[in-house]
Amino acid sequence: MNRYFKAQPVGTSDEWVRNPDWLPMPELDGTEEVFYALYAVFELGGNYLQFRAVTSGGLQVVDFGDGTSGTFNSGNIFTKEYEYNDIDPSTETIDEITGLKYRQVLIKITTTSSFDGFMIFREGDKMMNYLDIYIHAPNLTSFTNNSATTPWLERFRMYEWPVMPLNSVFVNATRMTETNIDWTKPTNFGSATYTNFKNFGDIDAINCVGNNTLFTFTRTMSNLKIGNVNYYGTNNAPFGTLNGINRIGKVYAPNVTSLMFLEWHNLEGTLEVEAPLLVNGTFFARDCSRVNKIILDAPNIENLNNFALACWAVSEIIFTDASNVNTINNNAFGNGTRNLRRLRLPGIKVSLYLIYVSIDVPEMVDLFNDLADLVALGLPSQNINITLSTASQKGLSQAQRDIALNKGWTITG
Amino acid sequence: MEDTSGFYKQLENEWWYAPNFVYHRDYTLDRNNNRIDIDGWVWYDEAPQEYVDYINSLENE
Repeated sequence: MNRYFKAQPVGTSDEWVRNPDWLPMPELDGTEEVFYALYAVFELGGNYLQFRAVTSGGLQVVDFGDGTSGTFNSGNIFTKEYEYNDIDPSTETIDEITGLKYRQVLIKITTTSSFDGFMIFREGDKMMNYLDIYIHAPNLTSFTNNSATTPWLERFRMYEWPVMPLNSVFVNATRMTETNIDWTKPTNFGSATYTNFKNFGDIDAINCVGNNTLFTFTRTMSNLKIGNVNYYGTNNAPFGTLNGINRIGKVYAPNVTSLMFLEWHNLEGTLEVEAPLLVNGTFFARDCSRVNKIILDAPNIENLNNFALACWAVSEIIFTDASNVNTINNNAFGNGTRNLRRLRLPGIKVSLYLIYVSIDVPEMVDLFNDLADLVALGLPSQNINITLSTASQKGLSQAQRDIALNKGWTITG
Repeated sequence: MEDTSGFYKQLENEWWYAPNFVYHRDYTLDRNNNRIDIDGWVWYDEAPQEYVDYINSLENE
């Protein structure tokens, strides 16, 4: 009985360990187009396989792993129901989490031509019992999970990732933990719902363009870590509903004009973004309640309404250039950002509401130095409201206030 | 009852409110020492209804 497999409860950072009782997956060398799947055949039954491969004109050649095989035309759905007693008893394994007993088969699907598309299905209410999948199909243009649930799948690899959308490969893949994804290939990452991924590394999504999102309906990846991200699309929410990210490196988004990280409640540390065409920063980091620093390099940004609303933990917000900002409401920095200790807005020309923030006198002076010279620009006075801020409560000297006043600003509190 | 006294200034599309002080390069207002009407600033013991309506309109946006 296997007791080696260490389950990966969501929220841990443990490395994935392949069950040593599983049959080995073949090594691939890129010479053969093939779909390998390790499949669990449970003692309780319900061991259905339903699959369809579309090829460039050839056949689907299937080795079911139980001593049977078949050949099917391109695009035809084939179905197989495994019998537990027909499977090699030496492969018997017990799932540590459920206690369910299963035996294993290694399914191999090849083609006489080239694979264009894969689709996995569900049979009625039966789940698909994939454990480990390894594929070489470099010309694949689609891989769709037609409402199949793959709760046992732990690893999904491709020898060479094709350029295609990963629409729904990981639907309800509760245990999905390990993948070797080449982020330069997918046009999006699809609906990776209920997966257990922990770390995606750097993402350079050169094929995710236009209105495509990097992720779509994705959730329950709590504690997920992502490295630096290059997103070349234009969607204002490129991460979809992937709000379980715990850490993320620098996000470079050269084509977006609007961008938000709305309600990323699990994100800690720094949110750093470079977005040279970004104009609309409405709701940019609203409800990122654990972020402690925001750095935004977006010299064309204009609208900051609700920018950091309810960012309860944020202590620093640094803009590299705020000279084009023309709209800020009193929720941008002044509602819920009570821990805000440092705010830099170089070139800002419009009124600011910094009510209750923790910006102390030296940092407030830095901010005064950032303010645009409205007198020199011939612009009407703007208001910097510092009611109940730390600097206001401690008191600013006349010389410190004059930094703002001499540039045509009004200080209220 | 919430203390809404302070200096209020109505601009074309917004209101400014300062409960305690207003610093401008040409004048200073202070709730304890100087409550004069100047440059559009007016002292109110309670928030004027127009300001309340303005805040309500923001919250309803």
